[in-house]
Amino acid sequence: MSIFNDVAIVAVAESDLGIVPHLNSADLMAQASIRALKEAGLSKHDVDGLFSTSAHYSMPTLTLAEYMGITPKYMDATSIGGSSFVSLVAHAAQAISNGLCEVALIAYGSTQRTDGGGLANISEPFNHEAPYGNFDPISSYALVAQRHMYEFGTTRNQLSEVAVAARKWASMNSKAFKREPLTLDDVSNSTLISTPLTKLDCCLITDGGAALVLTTKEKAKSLNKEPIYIWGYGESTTHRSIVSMPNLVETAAKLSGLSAYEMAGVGPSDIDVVQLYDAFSINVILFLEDLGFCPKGEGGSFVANGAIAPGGRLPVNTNGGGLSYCHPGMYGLFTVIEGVRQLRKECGERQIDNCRIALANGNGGVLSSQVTMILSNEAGA
Amino acid sequence: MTYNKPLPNPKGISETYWKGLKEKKLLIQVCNHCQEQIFYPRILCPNCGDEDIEFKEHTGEGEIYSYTVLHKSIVKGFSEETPYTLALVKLDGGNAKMMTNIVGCSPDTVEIGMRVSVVFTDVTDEFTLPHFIPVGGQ
Repeated sequence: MSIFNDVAIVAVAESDLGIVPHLNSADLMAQASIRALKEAGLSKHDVDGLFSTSAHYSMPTLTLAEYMGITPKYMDATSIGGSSFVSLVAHAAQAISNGLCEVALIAYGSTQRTDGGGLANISEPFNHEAPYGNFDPISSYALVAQRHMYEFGTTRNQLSEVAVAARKWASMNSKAFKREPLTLDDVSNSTLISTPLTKLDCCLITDGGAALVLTTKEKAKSLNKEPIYIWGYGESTTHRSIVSMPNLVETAAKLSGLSAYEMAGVGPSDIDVVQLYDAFSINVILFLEDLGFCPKGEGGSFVANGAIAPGGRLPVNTNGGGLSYCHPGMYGLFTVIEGVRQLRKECGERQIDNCRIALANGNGGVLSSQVTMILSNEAGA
Repeated sequence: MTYNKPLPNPKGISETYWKGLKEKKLLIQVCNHCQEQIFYPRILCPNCGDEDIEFKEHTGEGEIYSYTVLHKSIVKGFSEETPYTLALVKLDGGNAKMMTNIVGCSPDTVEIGMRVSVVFTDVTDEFTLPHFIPVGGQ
């Protein structure tokens, strides 16, 4: 049984996305926050719980509180990489369940693209990786992709299928950064960076922010939007740096997924739409396996022939994902936002029919942390 | 020419490892309780939790667990040297993996499962790096 049955997601919003040179990271956080609060019919005066993390600010909830003029009763700035914001949604739900706050605002903002295009990062150097020229994060993911190909026969074209499917979904999302058609050959033949990964196996580098508001199921009744419920949740980690990943072809999503499915009382076959953190094409293949949508090693053949593209057997990353929609450095919250919108049936051309249960999976570090959330438009039992 | 690539900044237990490299020794910790190899150096065994662990000189042999050939790189000092081979080497006698460069062969010839052996590259007066070459000079 979900421990979050008395809590609802009542608003989601993005800031301006893409290239936003006139706003800084805090501006983007605040812009997304205002949009989300307006969507719900709330104001900043209603917010008593603040949740954020950042690659730009060392004390991000303080920065956000100061900027917006909010004096929260409860804060959390969990830092587990790009998955942090999925984790923060659950941590906020837990705080509301326990009466620590009533209206929780989760906000993210990053000017990663405008700042120069590299991954915004306040990470410490890794003594046992940096001297060898590890081009992090792409080379860490490349080591994983190479091993996956070696163990299971995953092919170059199967990696490309992931990027092509994302682009097809993005063509139906007016907010997506890249919408022009893309072929398998375009991906396979784009600039080779770190074998086997090419430039188009890598997520976008954009600016952008996002926000989400949670409150009690009771309070949600008086707000503007259809409430969305958290049925299941799980998180875990296997390592910090890639040299310590125990098994390069199995991620902590196996464990986070099991926890989430168990809490929700559902399994992979019950999921109507899937939002996976696609920092690199290989991620989607790994997470489909680890979250039980196919057996280990069969992720490559699972995604082949447009199976996760529009009209395929499983709709994955219906917003276009980090590969084609946006990726300001920590993509996690965008997986939840698209899950919520699909469940509210707001996705227009890309709307999935009869969408009742969505899964969002956040990834952090170099496949280091995984956070799985199962959402529904029906209140949990 | 001054060495312009990233260097380690070892502190704590790891200093023993880097000093060993300077003396052309690959010192890898082994747990006296569960016998597991430990990399990078720590004050406890992450496998069983025991603190009875010690540095032992490793043969420096192992096999390539995975690798990637970098054709583009933004890493200082490496960006001009593409293509180069970054690898995870699984050391013989346990489960420890370490990151390294495979040197002394063309990147085209590197494969997962290939047997490799350590070579010690003095990069500065202070630091020696453990690089690996194919066994038998393949």
